[in-house]
Amino acid sequence: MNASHIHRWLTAVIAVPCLFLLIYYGSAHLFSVLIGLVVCVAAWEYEKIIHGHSQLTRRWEFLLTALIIPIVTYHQDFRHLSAMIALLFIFLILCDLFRIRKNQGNPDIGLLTKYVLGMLYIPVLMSYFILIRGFENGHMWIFFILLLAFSGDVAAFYTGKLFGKTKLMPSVSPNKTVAGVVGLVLGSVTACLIFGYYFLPDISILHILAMSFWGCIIGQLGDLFESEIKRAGGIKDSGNILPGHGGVLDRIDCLLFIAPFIYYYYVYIVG
Amino acid sequence: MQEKMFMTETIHNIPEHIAIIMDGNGRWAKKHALGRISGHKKGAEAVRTATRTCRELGVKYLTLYAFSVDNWSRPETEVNALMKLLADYLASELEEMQRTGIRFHIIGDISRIKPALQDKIEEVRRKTSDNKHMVLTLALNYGGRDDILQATKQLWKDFQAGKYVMEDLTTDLLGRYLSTADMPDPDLLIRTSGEYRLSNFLLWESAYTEFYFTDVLWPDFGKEDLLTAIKAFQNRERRFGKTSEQIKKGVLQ
Repeated sequence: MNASHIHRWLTAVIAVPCLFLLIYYGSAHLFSVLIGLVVCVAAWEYEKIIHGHSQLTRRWEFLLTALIIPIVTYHQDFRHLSAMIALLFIFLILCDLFRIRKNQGNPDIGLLTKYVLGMLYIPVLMSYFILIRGFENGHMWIFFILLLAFSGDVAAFYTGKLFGKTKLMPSVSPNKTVAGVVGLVLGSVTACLIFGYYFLPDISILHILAMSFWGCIIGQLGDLFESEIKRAGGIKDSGNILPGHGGVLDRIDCLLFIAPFIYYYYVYIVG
Repeated sequence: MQEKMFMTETIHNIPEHIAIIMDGNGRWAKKHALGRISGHKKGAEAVRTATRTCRELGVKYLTLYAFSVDNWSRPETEVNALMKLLADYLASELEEMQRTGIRFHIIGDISRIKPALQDKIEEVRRKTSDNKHMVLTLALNYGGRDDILQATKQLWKDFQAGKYVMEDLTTDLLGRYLSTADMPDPDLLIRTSGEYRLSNFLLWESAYTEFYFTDVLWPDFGKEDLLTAIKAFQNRERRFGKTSEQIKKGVLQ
């Protein structure tokens, strides 16, 4: 066991109970603040990946747009959210135009596109956690999603180490193996079924099965997408805020894709 | 301006007792891609609006079907969320009820509800018991058949005790044993959300009630919708089983 691996466990041992207490005992307000913080850090990391040494104003513009979206989501009204996305989209473009006019930047539609992508990718998807927290039994659903993502990670890590030979998608994610993914699906479906049985008794076991199975596959796609962003930016970890785990974005990459899936599954299929 | 004309035109024939089956919270939530509890929260806002409007118009009794005996079969988390919503509602509305003179009343069997909430209900009922302007009744864990059965049992007991002879047994007498005994029968019953059923609500009391159905979902049911319903009521001829001729001659008086 190398040092980074020990760090990984140490961080988890400290972070998991803190997260648990915050989500279980904290109010919906506090939870939204937590999501806002996560969005800010992840957006900061994303901005560094796509732009390297960024202009300070550009970074603040982006963080502002990123933070406004979870705040608007708190009111649980999609009309406000879509209005805000449209306005922030225009805001980012206007900032860019003004910069070009003042000769502080070159016409670069590619960079602008990356910022718009980042706005849709991190804050919009992450905001679904705030909506899920608003469900009856909302905090249990948050735990469900966290368990779905992280039990899979742990299972994948060890099955991959033990049995992994064939690489899944080496050009994007060099360490993922086919065996690891099989372990991930088995591990997280098992964990979710046990959790669902005890803590989400109103929900049929078939729904739990479907949500956890498709949830892990969607989560893996999210993981691969984040790897793609990093490869494109030429780096390995999104940051080093969590020792042994890399950055926040590395941790939430699959959550970003799982949350909307669970949300809509619950609203339209369970509800 | 238009609303004002509407009001002066209609102010004379306001129904004394309006009953509402508040349906469509879940559908509203789904329509807005939100969880069911968001629909119930929005529904609670519609309750506030309806109460205020009725109070302004001078309606004397407003009876709301909030939770039927059959709703217990819903998921436990949803029932808990609804009960919490009721507790929040009572806590936030007490002040306004006092200020505007609304007496709070409950019909239905509340013994299955958590004791803390029962106490709260009792407290609001006691504090508002002297208010005179309007009676706001919440039908909670209510069922029309259950109420008739309960009344019959009570009447049977009194009959056995020798309080009545066979000739005393009239519909009037049984009506006095119902949980709605101290209010008049509803004049207008509204059901939202496009359902055309009574769903075990005020079965006995609605014998001559005018029914009004609308496709509007309960959380969207605003002041305008209530005025439209009242307007429809005012355009109807209420005959209570008589002919139009008899009504014109004032047989009812």
